[in-house]
Amino acid sequence: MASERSPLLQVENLRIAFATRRGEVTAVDGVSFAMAPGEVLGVVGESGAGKSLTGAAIIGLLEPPGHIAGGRIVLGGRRIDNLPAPEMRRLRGKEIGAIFQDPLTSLNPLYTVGRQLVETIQVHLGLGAAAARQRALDLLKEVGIPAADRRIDHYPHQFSGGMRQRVVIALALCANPRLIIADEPTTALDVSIQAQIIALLKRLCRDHGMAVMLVTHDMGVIAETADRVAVMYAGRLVEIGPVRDIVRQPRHPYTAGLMGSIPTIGGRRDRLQQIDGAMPRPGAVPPGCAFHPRCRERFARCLDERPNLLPAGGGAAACWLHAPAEAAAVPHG
Amino acid sequence: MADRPSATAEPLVEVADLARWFEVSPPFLDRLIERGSRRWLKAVDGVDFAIRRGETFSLVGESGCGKSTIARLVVGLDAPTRGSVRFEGTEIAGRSRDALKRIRRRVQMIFQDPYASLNPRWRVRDIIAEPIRAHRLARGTAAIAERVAELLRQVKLTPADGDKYPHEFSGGQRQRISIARALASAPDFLVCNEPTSALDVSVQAQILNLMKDLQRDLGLTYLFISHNLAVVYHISDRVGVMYLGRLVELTSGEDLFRTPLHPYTRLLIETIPDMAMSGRRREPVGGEVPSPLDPPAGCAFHPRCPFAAARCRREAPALRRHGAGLVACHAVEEGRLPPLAGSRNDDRSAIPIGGARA
Repeated sequence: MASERSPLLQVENLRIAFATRRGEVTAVDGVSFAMAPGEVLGVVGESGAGKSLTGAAIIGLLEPPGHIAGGRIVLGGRRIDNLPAPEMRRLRGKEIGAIFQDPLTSLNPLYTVGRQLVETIQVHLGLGAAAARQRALDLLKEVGIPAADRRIDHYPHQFSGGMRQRVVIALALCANPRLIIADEPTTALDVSIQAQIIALLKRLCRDHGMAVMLVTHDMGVIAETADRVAVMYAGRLVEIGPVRDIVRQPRHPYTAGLMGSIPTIGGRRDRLQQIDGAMPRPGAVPPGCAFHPRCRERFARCLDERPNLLPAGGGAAACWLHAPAEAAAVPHG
Repeated sequence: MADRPSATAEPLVEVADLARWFEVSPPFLDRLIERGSRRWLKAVDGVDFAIRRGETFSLVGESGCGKSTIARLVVGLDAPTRGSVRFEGTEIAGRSRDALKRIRRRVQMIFQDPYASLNPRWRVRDIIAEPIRAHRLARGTAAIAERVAELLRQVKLTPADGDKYPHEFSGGQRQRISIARALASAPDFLVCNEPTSALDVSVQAQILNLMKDLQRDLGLTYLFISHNLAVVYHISDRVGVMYLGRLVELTSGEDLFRTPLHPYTRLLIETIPDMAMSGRRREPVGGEVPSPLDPPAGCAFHPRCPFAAARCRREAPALRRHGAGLVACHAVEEGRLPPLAGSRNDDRSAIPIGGARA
């Protein structure tokens, strides 16, 4: 995971809040992580855990009243969370690309895909019309659009869902960004198409040396694609580590419960492991560890003291079970 | 599954040669001027299966394969173009509302989106009480309230939750409310259309466990519609795999995942992300599901099939018995299909799925 290399992205103590009539509600709280160049970091969690908000904050697309209320985001040594809007707009697309769940909303239905690609290429790379069109064509071929020279002049509605997502990926690649935020890129697609898109993302990541922050609720996609995984719960980062550790030997009780609740083919067919209760809503997060009301391993300290990320296995988990003193006192396998 | 009050030979639901075509022709005048003919989208085109009492029968397939259309036909929300749907031997396809009233009480449906299937302006207790009132299953306010409270407890909510409105609940809790409403008329048969697809995995586990408990306690029969193979593996006794409006394979859940026969079933199983992290490289199959408006001739799967031969391009295969299950494939019938080299947990690269390499 190349921790020796200087990180491409650093997120430090990020806090995202929403101004509401009842005061400020914190949706993401104290999230810190780093990404190495070329790394695929999977970000998982249930809806409302704050994973998409974290991605949106990095790319500067938080929708008001949501805003960054604390912390820093540093890309390639440059702080980007406080950039003025025009500068952020130049950076977006050029240094950070984005792929969203629904390819239809990321494409303008009134323009051909070629025109959208050419415009993006011209804005970011300053190429002439002919050179930009050639690059657009190359990109469409690279993402696997058949008969690209003909398809370049088609409108988004003339493409299938899987092909449309390929166009969106081509659009994100236009300026060769160093980081791509992919928010549920395969969720809207059928399984056989999903496999194609995952294979494509992995190949592009390898060929271009891009880092990808892959936000998804699908652990299967993460298991296949990510180098490391960050697990979010109630706006907090509860565990981060190499993908093998997270999938096979999760250290946080929430991650363990999450992994156990996934039905797998070939596994036992009786009851699935289940975590009772539900994730608290923002603004109703309990004191101490946010997971403690649902946790079977909680003890006194979890109720009133919030755990920070503590070294656990090959990664880190925000759980008092991994505090040196507790680890000695509480047997935990 | 021995503890189930189930497994009599007589099927509860029988579907025979079921078809639903949608007309997508251009307007009459345009057709006249351009000498066009009428065009049909064959969403479902000749499907046969039977569901035994007390079992979970699943239909699985990708979007557009016709599985949701079948769900609507089976509960009588839509009338078939051809074929029949029998519930305990009584034909329900194309019958009037009145004629179906008795059967309607016994057949209920759970939908994918728990946000869209509950009236936001009704309190939960009224939502659940509606079927009780409509079918006159309890008389008097007290009796109805008692029944609603019992249903809420059955789906692991509290009677006090009845006073709230749907928006006060999370997605998983709303799906519990949908289930309570479906159970309110004391049905035998539940059609569940992607009931957990909109839910997070941990919530999905809660709902799947609840559905299994209810089936055991109440002796329910499920038709379960899903695109998620792992969920289908987990919940099903028998599974039908659909492709472009037809069944391509129908067998027990265990056999389907241990020894899939149809090349499309193999493709589906092969494309599931590998949670075991065996390090196996997934070989994505090229191509996409063709448009149901213009399906390929012969076997609809032949353009994507690594085993396609001349006969497959010409002649549509019928669903025939093969071993313990049914499969519609010329290659299987002619013995051309290479057997699976190992079970899913062994060397999966041996599963002979060809196609494009990424």
